[in-house]
Amino acid sequence: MIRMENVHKQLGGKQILRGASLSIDRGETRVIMGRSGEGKSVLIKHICGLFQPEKGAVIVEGEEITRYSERELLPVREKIGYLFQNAALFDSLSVLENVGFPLYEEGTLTNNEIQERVHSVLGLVKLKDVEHKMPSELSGGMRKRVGLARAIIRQPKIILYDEPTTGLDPVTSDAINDLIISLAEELKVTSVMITHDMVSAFKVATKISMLFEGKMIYTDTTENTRNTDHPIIDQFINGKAEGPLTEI
Amino acid sequence: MTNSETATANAEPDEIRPPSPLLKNITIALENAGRLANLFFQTVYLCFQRPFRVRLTIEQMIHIGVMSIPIALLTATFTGMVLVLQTGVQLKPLGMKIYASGISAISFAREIGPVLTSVVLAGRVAAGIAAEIGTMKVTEQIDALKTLGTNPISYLVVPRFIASTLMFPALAILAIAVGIAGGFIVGVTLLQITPGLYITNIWKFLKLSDYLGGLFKTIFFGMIVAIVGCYKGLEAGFGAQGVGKATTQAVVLSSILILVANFFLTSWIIQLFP
Repeated sequence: MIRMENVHKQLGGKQILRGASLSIDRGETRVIMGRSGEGKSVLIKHICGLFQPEKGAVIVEGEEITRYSERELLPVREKIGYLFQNAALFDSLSVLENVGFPLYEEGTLTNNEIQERVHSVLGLVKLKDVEHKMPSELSGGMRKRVGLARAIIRQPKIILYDEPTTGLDPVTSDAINDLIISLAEELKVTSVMITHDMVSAFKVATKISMLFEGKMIYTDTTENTRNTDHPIIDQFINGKAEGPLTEI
Repeated sequence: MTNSETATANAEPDEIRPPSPLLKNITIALENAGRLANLFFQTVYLCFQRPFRVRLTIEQMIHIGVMSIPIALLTATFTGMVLVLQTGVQLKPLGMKIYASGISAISFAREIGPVLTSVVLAGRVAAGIAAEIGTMKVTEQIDALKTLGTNPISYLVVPRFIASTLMFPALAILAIAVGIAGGFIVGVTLLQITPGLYITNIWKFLKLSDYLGGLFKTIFFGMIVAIVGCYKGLEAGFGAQGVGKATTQAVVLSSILILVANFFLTSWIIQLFP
């Protein structure tokens, strides 16, 4: 479903990815963890073509998109929903216009039909009566939910989550986790989530991978990861200051 | 083996030397010029492609044009007043102060009105565009547009480009009229030229081609300001510092490009309307 093979990427003169490989099956919820600045966001931005690798290949739904132009990426991006770290809502548009944005842009539905769809997806993310609010009037948790509603309005097959619980209190984080699980179950989507939040990772993931020094050094099921004796993974998931991660 | 042959044989293999700072700066400048030109041509192409974003363009026309009226008129009024005052004072010893109106009107219509208005607007418009688009970039809103299947150039650049191209000449028309009116007040009150003579001399000196030539240039100045503002915004670096830098660069670059373009456009217009 999603495959990345030996992906290399340099940004601002710094080598971020040094041969990262990844394979995610349909319907899976994969959590990618790694230290700050390791390139996790850069990695998932390759999946929707926001970045193109210097070397390696990116395959989404059987299509190699590595060298696709912006025009060729359009149908690929229709299949992908992306929840950005800070939701990336358009400041000048209301919640209704933000969530319905891709539908307004397509221009195939009437305004009433779009409003109904927006109302329906806002219901899925447990939001009510916010259609006419501006992003600046929303709390952090509500912004993430609106961002999630916008990501799923085109009924994507893949959803990419970039640190969906960062900056939220534990209760709101857990509500977002529940949403991610219910969306995976109800919409049967494949999910890829970046997070540092281990509670969240263990709750939503079916498999967990670790990006380290530009490579994917570990992938295993959630249960095996919980009991792993891999020194790097053990240090990361248990948040230990001493260990191989800090010795390098 | 000769000495030179020995020297060649002992020489180290060619090393790749880092480029000199001058060469590096020239390369960066050329890269930027290429990307700016690329954005310009893509924008012009997309102006004629669907979807036509009428609502966004009207919003930008209000923002770029209508909201800039006070600053454009204020600048034009006082510049027109100073121009007539300076010209009149210089011509007075020659007994020709009555021509201050005509001479000032020509220079205001041909050069000062269009160029000064555009440079002043560059400060407001290019800075505003670069700051807005730059903030959208650092908050990943540009990436969000792409993932939602929308071309950021079509959505963000084209409406600003069209609005700026249309509104700069409109503001220049107002600015020239107000600048000449400001000059009239100074001419009549401080230089004591009779109102009738003042207006007669304007009609005598000022030709329609002076006015149209000046306005024609502002079409290009509007394009420059919009494209530079959008380009710097889209290329903004990380964080508040990146947006601040992009904003400053947008104002400086668009002002310089207006002055450079003015020379070439004026040379061309003078050939067309001598």
